[in-house]
Amino acid sequence: MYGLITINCLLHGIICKILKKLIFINSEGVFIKPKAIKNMLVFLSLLSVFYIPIFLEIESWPFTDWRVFNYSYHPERVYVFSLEAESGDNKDEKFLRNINFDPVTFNRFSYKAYYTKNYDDLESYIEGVLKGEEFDKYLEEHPGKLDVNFVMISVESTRPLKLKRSIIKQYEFNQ
Amino acid sequence: MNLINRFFTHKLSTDQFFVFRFLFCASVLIYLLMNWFYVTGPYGANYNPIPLFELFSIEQWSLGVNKLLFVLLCVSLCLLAFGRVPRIFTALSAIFFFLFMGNYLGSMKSPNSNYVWHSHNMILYILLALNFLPVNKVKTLSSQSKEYFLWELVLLKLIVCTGYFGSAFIKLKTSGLDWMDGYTLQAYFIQKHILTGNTFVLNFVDSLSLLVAISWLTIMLELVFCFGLLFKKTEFYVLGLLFGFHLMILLTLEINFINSHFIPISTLFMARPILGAIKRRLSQTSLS
Repeated sequence: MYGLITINCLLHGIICKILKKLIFINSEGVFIKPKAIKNMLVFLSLLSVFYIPIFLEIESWPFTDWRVFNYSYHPERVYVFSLEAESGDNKDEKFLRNINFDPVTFNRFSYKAYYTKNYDDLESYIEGVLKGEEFDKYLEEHPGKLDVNFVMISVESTRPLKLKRSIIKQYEFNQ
Repeated sequence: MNLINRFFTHKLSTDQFFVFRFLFCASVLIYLLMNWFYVTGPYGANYNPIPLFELFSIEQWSLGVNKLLFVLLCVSLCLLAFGRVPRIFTALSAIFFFLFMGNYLGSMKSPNSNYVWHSHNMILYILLALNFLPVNKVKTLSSQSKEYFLWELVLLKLIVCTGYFGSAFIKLKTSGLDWMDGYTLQAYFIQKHILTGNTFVLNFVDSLSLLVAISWLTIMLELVFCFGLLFKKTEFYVLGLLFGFHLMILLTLEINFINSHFIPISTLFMARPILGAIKRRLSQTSLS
């Protein structure tokens, strides 16, 4: 932020100097109107405030990051983490949505925690999901033994699309 | 020299600016009013302050304070829309929007990343820029005045382009041409299908050449074509392309940027035809 302000001040100074030399002492006698210079300075300053952060990859101006994400992916490296329920022969692959939990949020948190090996955080996060009111309701609606699996879903083939589910941990309920 | 003079002194009708400011504020206001989760969402979830909040040691405030902030933001946007003391309410709207949205985005941010949506930047950028524009002193819809400079309109359009250009620039900088090899988009779509059960994306997953074409079109639109918004002759074609682009994002990735930022920014381009239609209607009624 302070760097950005410094750069802007420097740019202001440089532009002012160039304008003074180039515009007012002109061999053709043509000059830029003072009002135009004032407008030009506001225009260039604001433009630099909004465009320079992109090129400098400033991460916190004002909300965004212009850098952190690596955008290149491949289906072979798609790993999605989810919770799925299993009672007898019945499998509930939409378990998270059925307990009113956003699967995208769950994946975002568990993906990072899994790959940064924050297993304690991951464990407490999953336990938090399985302690909510919605999950209690789900348990009431599904009497009998219920297993909730923490699964990693990956891509086996793309033509046709075939997914592979690997159970990482199992949580047992209603025993 | 004459070209520079003309660019920085040429004036447009302030009515166009008034209509834009009214529609922009109204669209942001309606979006906020229709999405109450922006008020309550940051509470009860993990909170990781955005970097600027950390820098200024701004901690999360209570839900009551957040509700008050929301009301203040809405009132401020409303008064700005109708041109009441515009300088003051533009500054207040920018400050309230930054605090309110910064608080919400803290609850969206992963503890391991600074990543939050780019789209919210564009609304704040426009509110910030309005503080410095000479035309923003306009208080009423008056067809006589001509104080809206061409460079102000171009600047606002260039601000709209930052979101698209920045996004493409970073994709290319981090991944190079790999981003357009089709596999990246294929991976995005498959991931979305697994996470949300979206079946529409499966129409694209099989065809790698189609994915390559879509990837190239995306990069070209974000990096080059978006600057077509600067020219009168091409602005509506580009706006149409951008709408299609956001519609595809909504259908495939299930991320709705249309209401949150596309409608507010499109008011910049829609102001002129809307004003023309109003004037035509008024002249017809006065004739009859």
